[in-house]
Amino acid sequence: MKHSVNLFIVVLVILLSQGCKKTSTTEEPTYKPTPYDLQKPEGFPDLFIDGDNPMTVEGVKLGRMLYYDSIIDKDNSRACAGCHSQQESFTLSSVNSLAHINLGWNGAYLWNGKIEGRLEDIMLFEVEEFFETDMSKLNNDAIYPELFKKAFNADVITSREVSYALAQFERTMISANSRWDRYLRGEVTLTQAEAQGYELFFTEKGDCFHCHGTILFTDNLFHNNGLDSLPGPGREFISNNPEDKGKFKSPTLRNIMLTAPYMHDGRYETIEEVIDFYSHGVKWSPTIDPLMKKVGNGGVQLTQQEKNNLIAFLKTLTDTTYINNPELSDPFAK
Amino acid sequence: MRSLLIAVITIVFLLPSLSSCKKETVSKDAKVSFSFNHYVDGQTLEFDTIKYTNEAGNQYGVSTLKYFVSDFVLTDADGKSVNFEGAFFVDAKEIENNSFVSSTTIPAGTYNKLSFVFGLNDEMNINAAFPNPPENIMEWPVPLGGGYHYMKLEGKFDSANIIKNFQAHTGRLMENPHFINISISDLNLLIDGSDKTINLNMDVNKWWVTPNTLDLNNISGIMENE
Repeated sequence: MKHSVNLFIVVLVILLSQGCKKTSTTEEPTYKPTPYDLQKPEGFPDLFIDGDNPMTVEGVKLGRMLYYDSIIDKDNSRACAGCHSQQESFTLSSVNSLAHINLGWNGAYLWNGKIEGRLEDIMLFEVEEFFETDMSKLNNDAIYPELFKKAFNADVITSREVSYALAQFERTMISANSRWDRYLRGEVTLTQAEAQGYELFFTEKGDCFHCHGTILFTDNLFHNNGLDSLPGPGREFISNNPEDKGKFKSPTLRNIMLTAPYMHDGRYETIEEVIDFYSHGVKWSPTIDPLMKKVGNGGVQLTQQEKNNLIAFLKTLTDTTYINNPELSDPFAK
Repeated sequence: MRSLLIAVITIVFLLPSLSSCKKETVSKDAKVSFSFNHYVDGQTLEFDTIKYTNEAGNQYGVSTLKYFVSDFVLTDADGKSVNFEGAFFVDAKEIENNSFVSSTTIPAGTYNKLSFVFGLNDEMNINAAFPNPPENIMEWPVPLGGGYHYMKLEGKFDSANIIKNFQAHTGRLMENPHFINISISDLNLLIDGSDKTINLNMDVNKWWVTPNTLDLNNISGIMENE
């Protein structure tokens, strides 16, 4: 009798374990990623996405989670979002981080262009050198292995998959619905001050457009804009070319009113200070950009009214739908 | 209106003809590459160094030289033409942006004439025609008439021992197109089955002397109505 009971228990255990196994098999994460239809805004440059990291719903979702999760930091103390707050157009005033906005159209990253190439390249730098991500934490996590399997068919998570997921999410961080964009689409009209500021911006009088032109409001190139008579190395630090001394990447002016402080070292707290600098404070140095053609006069010499108009125009570049876009927000927020 | 610059043309054989054992007639058609080379008084242009002297005696250096060329047409002795549609963007600092291979195959024959536009004709010079880099940074703002810069030539010059900036930007200013038609009538280009390269050599110093001698001390910025 006792043997029968024991046998029954053994059989039951075997059946139960088989049952568990069967259930487990059916829930095994599968690699059937759903293509993500990334819409390029009208008038924007083509968005080149290499075939080795196609946009998928699963990849973007995973990238968004990683962006907001300090698990990618070796000390669990930092996340991308820690220095790139959505409410500040994905920058953070206290650390003067570069805004994450329309980065899919960049080819060089960080103020001195330390990393060139694709978003995947800068994200790989962030994962391996900035965060020094401990992959064992992700591989042993309760949820991430399944998500990486679904997004990349990865059985083992490496820095490659982490950077690819982050790059996919970053490509969705598109701002193209500012008041200026709506004006271009014929949905609103500009006020007189905005219109006059627009004309200043895009003519030689204000002369902003040579470096901050195109629909992206940046030429994505490097310039010495005359901040200092003895500039620091800037781009020279990367290129070792003395001609690059004091050159920094032109940042986009989209959402510029949300991304104070300004300049690579955050020396200006307000946009008014920035315009005062370009108007009266430009300094000569040997590598100053030839486009700073009024340097002999200290700048473009704007009147107070012109400065006010220019600021009115710059405010039209603020995209509140971007900073409130739920698809870019913290997925862990309650 | 400034004329330029395309001074010398040489033709280089790119590839030797390949012999064929087949009996059928081998096509003598071929492709043509256009290669843009940049000089100052016969010396290869070096960027970011004030070592050149123009007709007015200004010592100057070049930091940027970017431009559009378009509407290339080859014409043979019988007047038959081959058109190369579209525009090419040249960034003299970036070697990969200095030469272009025609997508059109050129019928065999001797071509005596080459014509093209330095800049963009009005049909091509429209807003958003070139939305992608590197061409998009040639954008010419709508308040200035829209379209694109035809050329950006920028650098520094020595003005009585004070180094100053200069900028020579060309483009359509409102209704004035300012593009330059260039025609070369002694090309003598033989297309006989081998791909050819046409070297187009720009002498930057000619910018400052034709048709008027420019002194950078007086006109350091060729923009707007200057």
